Amino acid sequence: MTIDEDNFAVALHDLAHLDPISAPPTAQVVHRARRARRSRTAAMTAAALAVVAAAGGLAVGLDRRGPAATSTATAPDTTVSAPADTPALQLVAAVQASAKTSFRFTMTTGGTAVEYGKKRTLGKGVVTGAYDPRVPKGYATVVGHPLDRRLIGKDLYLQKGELWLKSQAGPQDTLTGDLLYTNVLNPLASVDFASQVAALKKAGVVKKTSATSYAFSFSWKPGDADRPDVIPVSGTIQVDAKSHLVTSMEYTYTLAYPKGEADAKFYESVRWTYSGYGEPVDVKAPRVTPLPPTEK
Amino acid sequence: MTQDAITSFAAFVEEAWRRHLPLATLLSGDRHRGEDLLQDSLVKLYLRWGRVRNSSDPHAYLRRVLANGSVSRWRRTRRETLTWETPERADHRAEITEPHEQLRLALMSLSRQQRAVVVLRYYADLSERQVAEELGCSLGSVKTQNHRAMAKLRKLLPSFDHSVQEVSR
Repeated sequence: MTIDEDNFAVALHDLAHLDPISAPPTAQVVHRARRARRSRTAAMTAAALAVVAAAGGLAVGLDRRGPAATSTATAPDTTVSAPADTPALQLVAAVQASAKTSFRFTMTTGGTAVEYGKKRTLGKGVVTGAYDPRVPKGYATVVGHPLDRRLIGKDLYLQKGELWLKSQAGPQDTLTGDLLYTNVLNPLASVDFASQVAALKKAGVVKKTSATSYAFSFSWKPGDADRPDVIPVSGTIQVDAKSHLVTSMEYTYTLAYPKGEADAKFYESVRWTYSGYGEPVDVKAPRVTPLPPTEK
Repeated sequence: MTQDAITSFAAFVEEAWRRHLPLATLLSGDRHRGEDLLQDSLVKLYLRWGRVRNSSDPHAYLRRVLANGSVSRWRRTRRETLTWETPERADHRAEITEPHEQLRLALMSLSRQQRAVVVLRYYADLSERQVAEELGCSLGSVKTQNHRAMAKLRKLLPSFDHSVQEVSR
């Protein structure tokens, strides 16, 4: 730094501290933050619900044992070839069979919110990607945002603008993560696979509406302070007539917060489409930007 | 979010407000917009508070959110609205000197990205590589922005050395 830059730095400090610091608006910030979190929770709920609705497999989640365990978790060795005698079991079988192999996906979300009597449209989000649970490897592209993610084995690559960062995928990490502050969903949420499959089998209502479509509904109890106690969910799943693999899934849900607490309702709809089963997933490790040293 | 997490966030807001408001002021151009920027950034930080509170330096994380927030605001609005009028000042504010005002206006004439680069570089005392990491851009981009910004500042403040020394008194 030249002497003139030293002076500049001092001048900036003086300018920055010219005004006295106002009192922290802590209550206001916390109120705004909690409200924002509720909106975001609505979005993130859809990600979790994707897994619940599809009985776990299609959401290609990194389960709690991490990505290496995913192929095991999403490819259980039961029910796939066994004849299923109820619509619920047929649906679970279709989902689990679909999740055993590679596929491409597109997820679109949208909805409305009514908060304190005011209605607003929730941000629309589109995520595309592909995943092969057998490696595992995959990628997710958030349309319109330079926030792609790639997973190769246990290596998780995160894009941030022009940079790519690398980390080891931990039990709570997901392929798309929660980098966005917008209302874009995470299709690869970390979930409790086993318990959610069990929940749909036990509590969900599944009807076969045609040879290739199912309708389902259930009440989800997330057990999370940021969400209502009970979330009603309903949707449909289409399967291919020949392969019986899932081709699309649509569902809606409502988050209703009591008036005394937040007076807010979120109506969210999510659509997933799946294709390219069995096709190779080409994912290359990006050139990683070296992190700077902590100290200058 | 547990009550404990909310309480710890509120405590963080108290500390962060005093610590980061000067930086937010420089990044956004004046104190009022700085307060808005800092509030928005704290709200964003809360969305990840569960993880951030356990990180080694939540303040560094907030600084990054601030810097990127100031730039993305610029991206959203596409252009900066230059305010050549002196904002309203409180009675107890320190005496405004001409060099202060010249420097403030010169900073406001920079693009938000350029301003973020020079503020992080010279106020937050980060290296160019660290600035690149904070803003999510390449090192070359930071060097270019910094060079252009400093060239513009020297042009706008012809007696730059003299001016900044006056301001520093």
